[in-house]
Amino acid sequence: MKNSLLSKIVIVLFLISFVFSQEKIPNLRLKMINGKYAKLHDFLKDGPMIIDFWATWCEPCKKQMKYLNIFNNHFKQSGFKVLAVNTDTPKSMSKVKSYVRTKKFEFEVAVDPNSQIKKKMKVLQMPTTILVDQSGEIIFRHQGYLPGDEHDILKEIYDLLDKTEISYEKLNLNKNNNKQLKTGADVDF
Amino acid sequence: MLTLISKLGKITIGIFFLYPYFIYGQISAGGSSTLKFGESKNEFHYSEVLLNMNLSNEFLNTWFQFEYSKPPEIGMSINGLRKFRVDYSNGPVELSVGDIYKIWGRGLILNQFDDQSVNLDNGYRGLSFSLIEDRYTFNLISGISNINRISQDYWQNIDQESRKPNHLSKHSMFGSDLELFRGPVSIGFSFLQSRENHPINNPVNMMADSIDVIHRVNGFRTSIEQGSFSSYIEFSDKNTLLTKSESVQYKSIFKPYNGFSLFGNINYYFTNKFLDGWSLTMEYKNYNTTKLNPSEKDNFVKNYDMNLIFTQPPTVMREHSSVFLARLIPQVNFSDEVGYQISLVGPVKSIGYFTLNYQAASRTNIWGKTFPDSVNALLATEWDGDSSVTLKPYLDKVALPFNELYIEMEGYVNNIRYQLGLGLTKKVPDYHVLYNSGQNNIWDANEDFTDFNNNDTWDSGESFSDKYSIINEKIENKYVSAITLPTLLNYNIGNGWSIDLKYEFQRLKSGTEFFATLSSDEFFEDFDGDGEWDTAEIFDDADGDGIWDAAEETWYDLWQSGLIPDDQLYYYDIDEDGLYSEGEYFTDADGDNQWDAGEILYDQDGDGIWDDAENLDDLNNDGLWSEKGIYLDSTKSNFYVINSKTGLPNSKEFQNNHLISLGVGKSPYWSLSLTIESTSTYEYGPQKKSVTNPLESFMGNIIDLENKWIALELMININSNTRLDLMYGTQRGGIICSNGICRYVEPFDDGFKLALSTVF
Repeated sequence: MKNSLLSKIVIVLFLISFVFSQEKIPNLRLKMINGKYAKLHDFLKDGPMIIDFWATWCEPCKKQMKYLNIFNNHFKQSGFKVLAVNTDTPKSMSKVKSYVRTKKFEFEVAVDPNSQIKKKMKVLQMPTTILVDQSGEIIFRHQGYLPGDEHDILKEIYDLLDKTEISYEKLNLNKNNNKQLKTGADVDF
Repeated sequence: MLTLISKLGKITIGIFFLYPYFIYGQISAGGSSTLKFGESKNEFHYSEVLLNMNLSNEFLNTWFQFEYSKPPEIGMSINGLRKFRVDYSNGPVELSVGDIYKIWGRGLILNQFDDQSVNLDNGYRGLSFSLIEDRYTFNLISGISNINRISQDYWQNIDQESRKPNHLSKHSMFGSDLELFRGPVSIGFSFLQSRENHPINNPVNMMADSIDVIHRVNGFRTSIEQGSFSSYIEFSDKNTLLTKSESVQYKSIFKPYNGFSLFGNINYYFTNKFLDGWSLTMEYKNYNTTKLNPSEKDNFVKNYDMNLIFTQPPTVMREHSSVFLARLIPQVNFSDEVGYQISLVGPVKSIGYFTLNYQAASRTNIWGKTFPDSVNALLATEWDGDSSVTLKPYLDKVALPFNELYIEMEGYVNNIRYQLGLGLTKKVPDYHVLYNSGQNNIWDANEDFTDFNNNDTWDSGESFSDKYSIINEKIENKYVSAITLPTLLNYNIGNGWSIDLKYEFQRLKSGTEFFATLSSDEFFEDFDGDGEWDTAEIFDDADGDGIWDAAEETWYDLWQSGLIPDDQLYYYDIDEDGLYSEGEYFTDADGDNQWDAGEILYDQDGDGIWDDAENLDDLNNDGLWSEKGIYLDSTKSNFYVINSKTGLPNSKEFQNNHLISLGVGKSPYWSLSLTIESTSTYEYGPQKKSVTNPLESFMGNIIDLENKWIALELMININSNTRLDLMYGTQRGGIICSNGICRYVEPFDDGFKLALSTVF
């Protein structure tokens, strides 16, 4: 009875709030791969960003990450960056550094070993890619990865940069892709 | 008003206080929901809805999770609020109230998470206060942790599918953690205390009772990161005490094992000309917070030391994406395990990346059995181990060793991504020692005798007290070894189209090894008193006519007619295949040594044939009396095929498993995959008749359906926030492991699963 009443109150309050709300990312505290802490909004100082949730055991995540690295490197002059949040449990934590280093990824990596950031960001599937504008508003959310999804993500980045009038250089994904294929591959850790 | 407050409870009042804060601040609201539904012909049904709601502004973040399930896929059915939390964050201060999940270091003291795939939720409901500055972090926690678990060793409410927890572990806990950062070095100190209410049998009246125990854990950790080198080490020390209020009877039997846990890892990145891009990772674990003998290796109910469930250190084991390899990963014992893992990864020119991974683990002790003379040796025997510390895993089977070598090559050829792996796995999952006891009709040195001639020594003919002693020690251990070849091809056609082909092969060897030793001579009933064993048969001549008659029946017939209860089947169905097998109990009516309708034959030597034999305890089944010593070393496979002529099972040493998955996808809209798994043999155990569904009927026109599981899976991205997963068909049951915890999943026979997840 008490639980039922409580449930109703919470749901009603939530629905009222939902009407007045914007979908913004909370300013969560993150533990970075080097052990230091950072706030999520700190990454928005220079421009928009992509937050990507991944794990070393997730095959589609690893397929997608090479494209995220390309996006990070190509658009960094425009203030855009990628933050990859690793959700491996402590059992695989040792391998996260090796993976990032061996792949020579240049984006920032945070760790979320007990999935608390993942829950606060409403992540249900792996990988989940969230595009956020500089004000912290969520512009685009994508769950899972199928080959070809990188084009949709790139289109959303273009749209956001156009909308916010940030100058950038167009990216030839196919050219970069071929270059990447010759120099790198995914590693199953 | 007070009544109203009482009814609403503190949580609701808290929400009312918090709510204006959201209304006047800049709010961000959102949520997610997951709907899961499954129904199969083998009664594996579930229906559950999870609703997450998040509200946040600059300083506050709230989370509510509701569950409506009856029953859930695994776990207890809940209808209403499942979890909630309010987080306040302002500058260096963080305060959380509600259902909290924390991790300190790598989890040797505290690692909490909610993993619904294995139904482990080891968080606590309470409070957390943190101060986070550039040079240090400090965390203080306090709360109550009630953790549901499934135990086969606990007598309460074990359901057949092992989906519903039957044991509740209650902890009242508090602790603190301090971490300091100085350049490339960090140092951490932790303390945690838990007061646990532990279920126990009262040793006096044997009634269910509980005792209060206190667990105290202190820990230290440090890490360094310098150029191409980084390392991490964490140590914790655990003590378990009985509370002062407990009665004397419990104090006398309370003997916890107080030990330590150690974890370390080293990463090195090669930067020289030849190995540029290569990395070497080494991990080591030595978890010694209890010592568990092979019979009670997973019994957390009886073991006080094993109940720190919020302690979840690294498994130091590779988590595979291969279905077959993942099934072989052993259950990690976070209280009693030693092991290591070495991983070498690097690029090989432009071909791709090479991975070499080796891991080994075992329990931390070599156990032995002590067996004092006793009337009932089986109950009197005890495991005997010491508290010595080993630095490397044992190979002795009593320590349940595991090792795996995995090699992989992965890369691209034009638009085709390939992955070729090879895994060699060996493990001993179980170890048992069985004893027979009896009188040996021989005077032994410690037996009383009547000294007729008063010479203080036993002479032939003098009567003596023939004690029961252990005459047979039989060791059996399960074994598993496998060669696994996982492969994956992914072809990116273009325009969003792609094809996936996954093929896995596994040659699996699994069964039981028997190794038996005679502790003394075999026992025989010396009818003629000549001190030697003579041929002399015993049969149960029911009607006393001296010939075999009446109707023969196997144990299976007797079981079918209800004469053998289910809980005694193990006694008759020796090989546990659910069928009558050669060597098992039958009634040989006409004495032709074949089962064909007959009377009762007591097949004493277990050879399946009626022998001329006296009442000889023929331990090695050779029909002869044997002196003490090792006499039997044999194996029995878990696998068999049915002989097409006789219809009887024939054991097979190996099982060949195949898994083929063919998928096609159109980005970003949908993907479809057909998965076929097959196996070359049956496994001993009760057989369940599989239902043939329309999909299998269709596939039956193309392939033989025997021992195959076929499933069709469809994924649809309804939009970027909503995803629908559908499965129709049959899925093979097996072990799934997550976070080092494994559970057996029932097969899913001819049914469908639906999962709809939405973020809003």
